[in-house]
Amino acid sequence: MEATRAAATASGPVGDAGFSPERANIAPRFLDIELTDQDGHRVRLFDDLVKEQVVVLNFMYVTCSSACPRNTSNLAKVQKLVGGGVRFISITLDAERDSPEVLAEYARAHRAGPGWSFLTGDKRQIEALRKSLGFYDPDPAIDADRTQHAGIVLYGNERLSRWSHMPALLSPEFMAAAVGRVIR
Amino acid sequence: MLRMGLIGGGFTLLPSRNVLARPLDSSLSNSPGSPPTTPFITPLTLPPKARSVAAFDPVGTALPLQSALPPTYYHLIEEERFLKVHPELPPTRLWGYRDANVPAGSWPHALGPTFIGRAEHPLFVRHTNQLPTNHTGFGVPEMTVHLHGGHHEARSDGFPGPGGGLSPVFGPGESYDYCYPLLPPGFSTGEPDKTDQPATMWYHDHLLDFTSQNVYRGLAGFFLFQDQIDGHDENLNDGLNLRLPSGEFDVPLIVQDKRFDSRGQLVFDIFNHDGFLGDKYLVNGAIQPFMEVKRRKYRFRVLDGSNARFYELFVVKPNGQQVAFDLIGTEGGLMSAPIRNRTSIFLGSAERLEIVVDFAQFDAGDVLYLENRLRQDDGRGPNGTLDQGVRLLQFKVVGPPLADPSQVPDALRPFAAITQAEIAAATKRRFVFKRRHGAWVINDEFVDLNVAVASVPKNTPEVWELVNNGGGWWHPIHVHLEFMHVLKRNGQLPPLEERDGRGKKDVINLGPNETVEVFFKFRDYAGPWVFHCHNLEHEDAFMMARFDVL
Repeated sequence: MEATRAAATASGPVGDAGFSPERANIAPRFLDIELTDQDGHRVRLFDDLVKEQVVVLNFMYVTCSSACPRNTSNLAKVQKLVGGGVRFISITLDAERDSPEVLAEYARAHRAGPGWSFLTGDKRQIEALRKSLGFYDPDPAIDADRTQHAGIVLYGNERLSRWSHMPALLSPEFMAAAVGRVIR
Repeated sequence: MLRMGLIGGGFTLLPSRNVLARPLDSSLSNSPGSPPTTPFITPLTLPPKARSVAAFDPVGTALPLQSALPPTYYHLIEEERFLKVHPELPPTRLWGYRDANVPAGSWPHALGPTFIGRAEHPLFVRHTNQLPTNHTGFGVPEMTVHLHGGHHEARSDGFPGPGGGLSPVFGPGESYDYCYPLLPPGFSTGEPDKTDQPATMWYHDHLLDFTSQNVYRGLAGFFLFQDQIDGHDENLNDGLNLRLPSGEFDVPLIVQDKRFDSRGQLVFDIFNHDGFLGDKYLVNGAIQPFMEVKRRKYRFRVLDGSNARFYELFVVKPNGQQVAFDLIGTEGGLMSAPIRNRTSIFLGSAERLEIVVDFAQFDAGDVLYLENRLRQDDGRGPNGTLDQGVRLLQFKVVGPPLADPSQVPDALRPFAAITQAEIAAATKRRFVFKRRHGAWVINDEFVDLNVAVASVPKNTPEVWELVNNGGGWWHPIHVHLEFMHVLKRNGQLPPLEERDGRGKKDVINLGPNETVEVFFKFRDYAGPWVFHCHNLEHEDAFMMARFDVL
């Protein structure tokens, strides 16, 4: 594993001889989990959907009546603006009810384009994942309340280890430009 | 030993600071700490002063009409460099500013060059971005430079992104010219206010959504202001100059906390939106350095350059006994009068406090420390005080007793408090800072650089009520363009060093559920500006707003 990683970063930035950039840090935060997408396919989150990709990732759930409907619609507009080459990932916080079929219908209803994976899986693993990726509130009471879940998206370029996050409800033009900034 | 509770004595700033203990909740708790390093074996350094270059034709900017003196020109490079922040660590990859006069590879400092700006002597500073385009890792190599504490046009203020008619971001290979006329506020109205001048400013990157990453990578430098009153010359006795400690005895100190991996490289957590905390303390870019001090007074300009950490700093003897000092300035410049016999200073991100410490009371061979006694376990804010804190900087007293021409007079830069009449005539606005769905809003909105939350006519009085809507979060709020006069804190008279008439501010700490009322007059320069939380992770989670001066 280490050898292939080192080879992959051999073309990295100039600098101190023998210095290799800190690319390896990000993968562990995705916890090596497997999820199921809206077409019923089993995917390894990092290896299949994130590695080498430009990614826009958020958490949602289908029966959410607070932020998610607007977030997802807004992200659909962003997806149209950024065009192909950017992978969108939405992971459900309600794995018990959001089966692949339910997610597929949700994706259709919100006009999600191709290259957008809606994922479900083991509830506890998803819970650990969302904390690992920074979608939490340090106040346990707020964190436990699903209706107050974080309405932000994580976006980044895995190959360049260039990541940030932003609220999901900014103007689609702004968000598309932000994603464009990490593509370079 | 750890103990919870308030510190008595010199600690005055926030009445509601008896915060409760909270469990540790660092999202980096799974990652190993930085490698061990031996403290106080590397000397404190200061970068050289900025060196001027030949005149160039500034692009996109020009002096205001009222600027009469000939400008000086500077050229800075944004670059990637490797530097040992400690003798026991391999060189760390950093980003920083460098004087273009100096060849690449020959700037062995974390900080950029120190500017000394003289009142009304304008500067043009050209920045050229030589950061690598194919950069991998946190940080985005697109730049916009904010001179924090300065009063100058919007185009030269480091606006965070395109908006308001500005295109302030320059990428690798590109340049951008900045103009700092250093004219006193009110210069364009015939009422120049020379009681309203900075002392210690600093410059740093301000790129929207990546400020925390870029500043953490190292993009920072000092910009000091000099005039007839703060003459930077303790020997000049002309009746105006204050003769504060100068030269080698005038020392800017930027305090930062960072984290390193086993290869000595910066560790940052881009999944942390609360506020990034490090476990290594740097002063002027070196981990826990030492400084030889002579037996006389020193002026220390202390800047909290951390992304999210608050500090309560003491000067202590090895046994922990506190040493008193004079407090002479805030980030809003020299105070009207010193506050004598202080034993601690409290700083949030980007705040500056200036102190004068007299080492004449000690003997050669004595050792003292600058110690942080504030406990902070996560980005929300401090959660207690320590009897014995972390020692950031060691002072080694050297040499024989010394003649000391410097002074700390009883009057520094007096200024008039805002009158009741002006407060009554002011436009009142209220800004509520709140957490919403994992990010931050001001008056329920995320920042949109295309939309101004306030349109303020130039040169008119404003009173802003800044409200922290709870949640156990602390927010150091910074407003660009002008210093603020603090009228009330939680409905009461503010503590002395931030009280109108005594000191001005450009960063206001809002503790949990606090409300602060401040007065501004936005003078001279129309255009788009921003105000924002200076916890850089909050700032990048969009805790910012644009306001326009018309």
